[in-house]
Amino acid sequence: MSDDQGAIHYLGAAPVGVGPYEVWQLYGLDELWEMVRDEDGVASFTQVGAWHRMAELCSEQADQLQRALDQLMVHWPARPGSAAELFRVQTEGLIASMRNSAAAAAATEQPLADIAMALGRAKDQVGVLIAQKAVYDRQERTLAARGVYPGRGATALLSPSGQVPPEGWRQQLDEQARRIMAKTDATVGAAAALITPALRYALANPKSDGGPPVGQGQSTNRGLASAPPSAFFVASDIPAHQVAPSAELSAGLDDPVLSGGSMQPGSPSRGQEAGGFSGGQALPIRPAMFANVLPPGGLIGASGPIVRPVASAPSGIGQQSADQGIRAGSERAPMITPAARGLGVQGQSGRTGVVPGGRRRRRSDPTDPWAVSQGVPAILEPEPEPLDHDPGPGVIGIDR
Amino acid sequence: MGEAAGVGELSGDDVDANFSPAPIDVNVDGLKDFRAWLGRELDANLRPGAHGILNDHLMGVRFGWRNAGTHVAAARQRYADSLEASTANLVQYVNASEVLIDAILQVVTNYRASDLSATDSSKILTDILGGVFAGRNSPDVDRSSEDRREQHRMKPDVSP
Repeated sequence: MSDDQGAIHYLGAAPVGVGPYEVWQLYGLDELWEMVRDEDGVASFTQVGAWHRMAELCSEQADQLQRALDQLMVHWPARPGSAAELFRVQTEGLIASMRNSAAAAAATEQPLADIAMALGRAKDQVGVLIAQKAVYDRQERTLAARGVYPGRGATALLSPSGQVPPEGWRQQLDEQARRIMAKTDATVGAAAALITPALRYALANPKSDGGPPVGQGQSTNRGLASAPPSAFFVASDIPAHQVAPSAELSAGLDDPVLSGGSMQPGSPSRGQEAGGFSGGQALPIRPAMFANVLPPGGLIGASGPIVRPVASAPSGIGQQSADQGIRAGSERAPMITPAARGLGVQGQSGRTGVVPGGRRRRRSDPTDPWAVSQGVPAILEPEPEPLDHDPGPGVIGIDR
Repeated sequence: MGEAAGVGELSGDDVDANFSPAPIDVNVDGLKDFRAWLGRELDANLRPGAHGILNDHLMGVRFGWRNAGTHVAAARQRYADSLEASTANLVQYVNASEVLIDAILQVVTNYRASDLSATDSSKILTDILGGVFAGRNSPDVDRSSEDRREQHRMKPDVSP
């Protein structure tokens, strides 16, 4: 696929006569800026660290477990058909899956960083074009506002040559932005090709059809369907059939933030109904358990859906996620970034949140840009007013 | 990372497994050691580690949300698949560790209670273990994960 075939899904079927190269031509600078303006990479780089930790955790756990199992088998010989063999097979399946997950996590770490960097770079480059456009716009307005000699129809003064925007600057900027986007799209595609999802693991059920233990090179979804919720997952309010995300189940999900779907720039962006996200392709993956992690400070066993605060990214992507998740009727909101990473946890506008320094942020009114802070009581205060007034000696008319 | 040193250390009179005729030679203390180690490892490393990773992974796909590029959309899909599989696996690892702990407990209990020289003792144990792995039908293993964790924390070694 060439670099210029990007965005074709965005409009659905390409118009007749519009080739791959022309697809990016359907967007102008402003629309392309909307596509990348929220790419700050903070969350993605947080996940890069998580992938690194996962690779380490799974690898070390697999090593330790293998070592312990080897010693256990000395004391509990695994003869064919014995309980020890059954136990060994199950444990080795777990170990194999841990190694597979470690490899997948290690393989995902660098591509994710590359993707975040590519998109961040595109944001910077398109941002430069946006700034240039603002300059040209201002120059053009200045030219248009020049005084005209009364009755003569001539402009008053010619601007210096540096103040005149170049001919066809809008087309030039659009074209540069399109090239940036096409190149970025190709870079992201190349990086994503290196991502390899881990094989699904579940304990083999020896009483079922006798299939081979999973986790040894077999992918399955049985585990999520059969296993009870983990201790750190609160899934009591989620029906059992939702614990196992299936294609049918997830096909109708409409949360592009968690599902990996894309949002159409120019469409009603924030807080619109699900129909607003007409990204062409439905990208349906969203495990139901995403909603069931106990939030910081949450109560184990608490009933009712969990709506957690949302980390607000500087450029607003977190805010969009929050708005979308809440207004679209979803009971779920994206996971916050843990404050322990120093990013702080900040609620939506108007809510009290925790900022990096650990201080409580004062409640503010987002609709009032002119609001000023209320001061604390003054350190130096005037003395209280005297109850009586004495003008002093020598005042005429006062008989003492 | 926890150390596996406490797991069933070999003593001088341990018999080579290749020449043991029957499961009579099982060292139950070794099983108990394994179970205790697995519980410690679960509580000290696997569970908290998985929890921290899940906190970050459950943010979902956070790039290219509005991007119209086909490759970016495909990357989002692929990354979402990867996130989903990995988070599910982490959950399963914790669950599986708890099941293994339960399984060892069942084995130790039955080794203590039964006549290990009986010819069908191995089958009995296999059936019990199969029941544990199969699932969640036995009342002994049908407790919630939180119950198991709490019990392990309060009474770290209750096996006979």
